[in-house]
Amino acid sequence: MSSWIGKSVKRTEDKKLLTGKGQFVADMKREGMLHACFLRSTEAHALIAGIDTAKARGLPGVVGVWTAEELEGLGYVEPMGVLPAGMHEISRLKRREWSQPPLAGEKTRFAGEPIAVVLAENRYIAEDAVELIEVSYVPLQPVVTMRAALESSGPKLFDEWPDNIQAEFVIEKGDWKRAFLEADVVVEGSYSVGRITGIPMECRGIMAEIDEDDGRLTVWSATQIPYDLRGNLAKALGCASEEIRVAAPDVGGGFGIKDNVYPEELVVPYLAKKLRRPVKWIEDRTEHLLTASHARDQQHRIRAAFRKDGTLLGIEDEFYVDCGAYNLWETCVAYNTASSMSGPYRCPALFYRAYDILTNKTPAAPYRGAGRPEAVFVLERLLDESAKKLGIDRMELRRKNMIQGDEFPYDAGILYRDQTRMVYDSGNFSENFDKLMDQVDYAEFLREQQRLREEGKYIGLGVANFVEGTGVGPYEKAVVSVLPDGTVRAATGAASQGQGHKTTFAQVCAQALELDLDQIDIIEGDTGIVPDGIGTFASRSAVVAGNAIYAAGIGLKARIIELAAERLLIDPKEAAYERGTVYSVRNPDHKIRLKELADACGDDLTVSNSFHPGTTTYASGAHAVLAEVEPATGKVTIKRYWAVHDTGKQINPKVVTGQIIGAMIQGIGSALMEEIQYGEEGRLKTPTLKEYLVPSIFSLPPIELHKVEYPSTRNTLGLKGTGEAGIICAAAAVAGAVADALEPFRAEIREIPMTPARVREAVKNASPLTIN
Amino acid sequence: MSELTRNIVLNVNGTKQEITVPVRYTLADGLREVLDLTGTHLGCEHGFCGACTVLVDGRSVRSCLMLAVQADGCSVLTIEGLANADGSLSPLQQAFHEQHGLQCGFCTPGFLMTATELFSGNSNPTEEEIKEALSGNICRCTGYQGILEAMKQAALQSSGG
Repeated sequence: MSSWIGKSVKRTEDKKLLTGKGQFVADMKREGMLHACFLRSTEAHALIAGIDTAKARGLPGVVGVWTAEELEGLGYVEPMGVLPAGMHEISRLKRREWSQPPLAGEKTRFAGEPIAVVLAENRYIAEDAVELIEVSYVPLQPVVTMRAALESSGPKLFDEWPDNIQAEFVIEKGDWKRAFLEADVVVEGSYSVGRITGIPMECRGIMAEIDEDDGRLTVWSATQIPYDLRGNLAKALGCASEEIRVAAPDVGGGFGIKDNVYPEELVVPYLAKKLRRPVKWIEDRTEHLLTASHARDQQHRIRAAFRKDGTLLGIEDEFYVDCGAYNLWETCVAYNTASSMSGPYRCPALFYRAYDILTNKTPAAPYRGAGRPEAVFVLERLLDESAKKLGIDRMELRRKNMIQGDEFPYDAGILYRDQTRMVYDSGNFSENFDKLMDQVDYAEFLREQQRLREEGKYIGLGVANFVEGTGVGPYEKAVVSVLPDGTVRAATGAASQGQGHKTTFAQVCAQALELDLDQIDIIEGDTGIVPDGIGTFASRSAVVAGNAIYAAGIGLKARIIELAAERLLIDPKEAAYERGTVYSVRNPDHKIRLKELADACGDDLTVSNSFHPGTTTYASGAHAVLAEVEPATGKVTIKRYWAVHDTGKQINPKVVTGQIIGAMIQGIGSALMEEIQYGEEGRLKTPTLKEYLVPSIFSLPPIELHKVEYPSTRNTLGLKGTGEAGIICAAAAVAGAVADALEPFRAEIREIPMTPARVREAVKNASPLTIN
Repeated sequence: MSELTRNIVLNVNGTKQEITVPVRYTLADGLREVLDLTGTHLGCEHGFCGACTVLVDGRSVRSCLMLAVQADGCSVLTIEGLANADGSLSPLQQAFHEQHGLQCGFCTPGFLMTATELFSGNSNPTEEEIKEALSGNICRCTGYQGILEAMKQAALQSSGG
């Protein structure tokens, strides 16, 4: 029996998607279904004085219009990602309670916030009706920037708060004050990471229906977190979780943007329940850019202490995260940023102070990488600038401070978000970096760079390194059963949004049970089938659900042998298992196949397992980018891209490669073009894909990806998460390349995205190097 | 609600369809809502993402930007019409399958239809021609690498290479 794990088998989910037979929420239809459309605030910050819905209600085809006060008994959206209680004292956490109304009633806090909802026979009519609703606002001064949010005399988003800081915390390690006193060289800088978003190609969508027979509510949502949605919804509706089934059908990308519970996801099921009719809401792209979560948007003031030989002694960083109007995942992103900051480098002392700031913008939340790309951008830029100040080659500075292979497991000296110590379990950072530089041929690059500069062409090389905690808990459950036809069904809550779980989970299950892939069916993300679970985000599914499926599969094999031995009237010790068939070792013809066993045993052939990882496992890697910059136009062209990734054991190498490269190109987008922009009044200036640019196929450079497999020591299969890894270094490496290319101009690159306008500005503001 | 409607005739994936559509329905909504052909996806409804691309009389069209009534009398090819007669994947679909040219699959119909148009006029496109043809379609999952490889494989096959 060949091994399924490690094999690049083609995906089993492809055929339906390639033939138009996928079933996304928008594709679902029900008899008597109503379509919802939301009226959204045009004001970023205003009191709502009145709403006149009479004309909308009178439009033929409209079934009803609801405002906040008419959603009687419906609760609010609750925050996620609140730090565990034990973290509070350690991190000196201060946080303020908040919740988001399903529809804004008294006050609107961002342009796009839902104010009213229309249900109609079709979406066209619902949209017509929304246009007929009249809202009278009493405008308040909008808080558009973090600077404005922090002004003590400025407006506040929540009247009862003295300021707009939702949360703040500190992370400390070692004697950081002494590190700066004893330093030979201190390098400091301010860096900003722009506001972007994930742009899954499928916008958000939800459909809710009531089962006529038992009154149970079923909610279909393009969500990454069916269980959190069920929990929040049950609380908001005031019913038991058991009365609600949440299922994620085919989902067209998520990247963290569908990892939130949104107001629309409470309102639509509420109305379906109230009217006892199916209700569907499908978001359009402008609504998506206006209201689905944004991300990044950080400003850092950082300094690093070095000995003159380049040894890093300490880092001090104060940073601010613009969370928009509601901090959906609380300190999650800021904590990830802080705990990723020193990454693969030894840093004996550190002090980070983080602030989560509210502004009158769309709520922000984790997006692929969730705080880590920000940290890597800030630190790698600082290292490049430090190398210059220290007079040390920037690659050597990195090598000098890198944690070495023989130091694993390595205790980074602080706590992870899950309240356990950050101990890197396996990997080899300096080996990653050496492999990367071997591919690059640095010496040849330097010669070429010099030669081209003489021709007036500017190329640069940027590098970045990362470490990422992946496979976060608390757990995922798998239920593996033999069906009456002798095939096996494995079900888990961690649903795919394109990651290919149907194939990779089947590979894991097939490995455990020594079966073929076509004998296994994978069911995902349906609380009606697996009643408890978490979801797919934070590079966790392969690690947590994968290991749960494997353990359940192994358990099922033992159960099959035990029950088969009973049927065969032999001692289980005399029973052998091979590809689903159990036989007597004494008489191999005395055997029973899975189907026969299923006929005989029925429901007994089910085993479930919950995998609780003790803590995360650490993936790592290094990226290098060669870019050409035109100083006159600000145009950046990426000519080559090299990457080395420690992926842990790979279930399906082709799928892993696809995840990494997909994330790299998103990272190029965040480095060069993607930017959510707001006007002075707090209105979105990038409401379509014409203004919000994302990479096209022309953004794809030649890529050389080298994968190494240091199996995790924290799970049976040796897996590490891979969904986010590719994006973490990308913007930092591109920024390093742009800065290096513009070195003759002494242009400072301290902000992403590096749009052409911003690159030109950097060149214009720089003082050219005097050639001696 | 009595919406203003019109009766139109479309030849969709080789089958003649007489349908009644509200005059303001886009072709995408006509296909999806009236004909239940939900393989055509809406990713932006502004004409930028290309997910809703179908072929009308052989030419690629953003079905979110065309009204259904404008297609009266036309032949329309959608993703549902691409597979071989026996239901097996066409060489183009097969190439996407083999080269990991899709992940979530939401943008895939638009890519396949745009690629179909390219190959109908050029059986052996160069990498630059492939990029040019696909530059109006956005994929957010694959980073385009798998798509490019699939296109190269399909080009090789369609040119008999």
